[in-house]
Amino acid sequence: MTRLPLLKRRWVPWVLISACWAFVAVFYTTQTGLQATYAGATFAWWHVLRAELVYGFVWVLLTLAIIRIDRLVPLDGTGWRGALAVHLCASVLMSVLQPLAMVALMRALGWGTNPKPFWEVGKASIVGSFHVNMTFYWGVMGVRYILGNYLRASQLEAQLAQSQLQALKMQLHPHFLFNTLHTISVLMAEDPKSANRTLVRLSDLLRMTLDDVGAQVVPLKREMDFLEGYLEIERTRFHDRLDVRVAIEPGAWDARVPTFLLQPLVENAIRHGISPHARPGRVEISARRDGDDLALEVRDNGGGLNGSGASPRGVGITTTRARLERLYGEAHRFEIGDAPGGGVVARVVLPFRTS
Amino acid sequence: MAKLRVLIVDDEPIARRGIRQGLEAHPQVEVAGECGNGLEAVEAIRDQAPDLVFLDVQMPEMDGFEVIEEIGVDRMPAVIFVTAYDKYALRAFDVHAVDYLLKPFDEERFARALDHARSRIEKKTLGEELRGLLSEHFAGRKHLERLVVKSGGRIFFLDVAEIEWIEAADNYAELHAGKQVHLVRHTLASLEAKLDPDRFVRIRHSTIVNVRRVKELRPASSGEYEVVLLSGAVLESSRRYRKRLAAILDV
Repeated sequence: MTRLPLLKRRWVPWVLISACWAFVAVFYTTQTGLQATYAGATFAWWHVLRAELVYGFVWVLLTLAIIRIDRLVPLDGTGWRGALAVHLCASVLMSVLQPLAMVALMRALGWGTNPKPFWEVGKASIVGSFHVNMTFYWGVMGVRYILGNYLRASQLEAQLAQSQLQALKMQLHPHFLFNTLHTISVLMAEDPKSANRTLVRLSDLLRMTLDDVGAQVVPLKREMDFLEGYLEIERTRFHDRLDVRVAIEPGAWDARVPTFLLQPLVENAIRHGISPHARPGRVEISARRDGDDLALEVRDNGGGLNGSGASPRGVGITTTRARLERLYGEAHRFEIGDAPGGGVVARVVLPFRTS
Repeated sequence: MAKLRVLIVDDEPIARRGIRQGLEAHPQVEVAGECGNGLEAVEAIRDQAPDLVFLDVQMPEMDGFEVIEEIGVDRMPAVIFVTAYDKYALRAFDVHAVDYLLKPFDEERFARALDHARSRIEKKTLGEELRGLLSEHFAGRKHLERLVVKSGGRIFFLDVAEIEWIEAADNYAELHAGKQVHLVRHTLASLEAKLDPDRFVRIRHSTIVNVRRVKELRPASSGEYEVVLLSGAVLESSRRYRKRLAAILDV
């Protein structure tokens, strides 16, 4: 069974919020208690503590309400002016309602000590705690934003590290690596020059992989260099069975693309489109500018998605999808589907940028 | 002693040359043939009956495991599996003590794998390890979806959905599909065991029918049925098997 990270489990926020308010209750009780003891008065610890706990309990509910409100009208969204107005109204309203709820609860529990009518006690309570309650409201908002930012930052960092690791693993796909080493080993005996060429290509690939691990985007030219090295090795391995065509529009070479974007798509085309069929296969790679967008395509002439229906489309694709989502959000498209006329086509559309 | 005849099966031409290179140092071994995919391998193993097969695990269309399954463990010659990287297969090879060779290899490792396979051939202890390996490998799979068929000099896969009925012919089986009849080297019992029992039902001792191709059941004499297929063919069922057919067709 997989376990959710601690902070993602449903009951955790409740427990944390309750614990915070219980701490506030104890904190106030001790302060009042120490003051009273210092002044030489008798002090009913339990009576004060239970009143503070009721106070805290009301605030637990209000805290959840604040989080709800903030989800609906976030202060850091585009409509922040309206959101601020909503929050101001809500903070005043809560600061008024909180003491009334508190008095009502104390009376219902039979812990109320003031014999005056409800409304009298309530009014006094509102006046007495309005400022504290306002402070609490905005304090809750502050903690929420600080914590939220912190969590988001650490999540992003983890994702980035993950995708870098994936990128590295993808290049060093063990099956590809060892088969290439074997190709070199065989060629060494019969064609040392070819063996050396393959070895140099493999070294280039490894070097580029290590160099680019930190970079998020590179010019398409660089990505194609990498791909060229990769394809040369694959051509040596599959030789008569692999025909690769590249069509890059002259203006597209400088466009920035995510590092290692194309390689997993091409690898997929080779592995799922070409390899499973004993006949020679073709892979077509194209890039062109389309208005403000860059359109990339990797197409094979294999059996299509249905033909190899059961075969998984690889970890590489999942990672690519997640990376594109993070880098471009709504501004990109990524589709893999059956190509008209057979085979599979992977299409990526990105904003055209040259820096 | 007669020369050891080996078959080399790998989808990468360079990798096949690698095995030939390894064999150069072993003059008592001769290469019976090379195959670039699983289908060719099945045909070559049947036609040439080699003593030993260097079998690549990952290949197009039909992988090494499927080649052995198609041939049948009992008829399979000795095998040395060859693979570049496949941690699951390697674990299984170790567990079931079959011979394997990792790419890349050197003369020493090649010689060790070959010697080992040779002593295994001499002791004739071949089948059991492969049987264990295969049953583990195919444990998750439910039923046979396609069959390797050779017709008119061509070897190809036949989707089981295309089969209308199967007729026993000694140790062979005739697959009736459309207007064609394909002869395969399987007994009716072994096919029945591999096919989905909800789709393929025995209607008499020597006949299995694809229930999706059945149009109607016609009562015949003495409680037997005639099974009429969509194609118009009429098969006879025997009383012994009537119940299963009736249960599946819900009559």
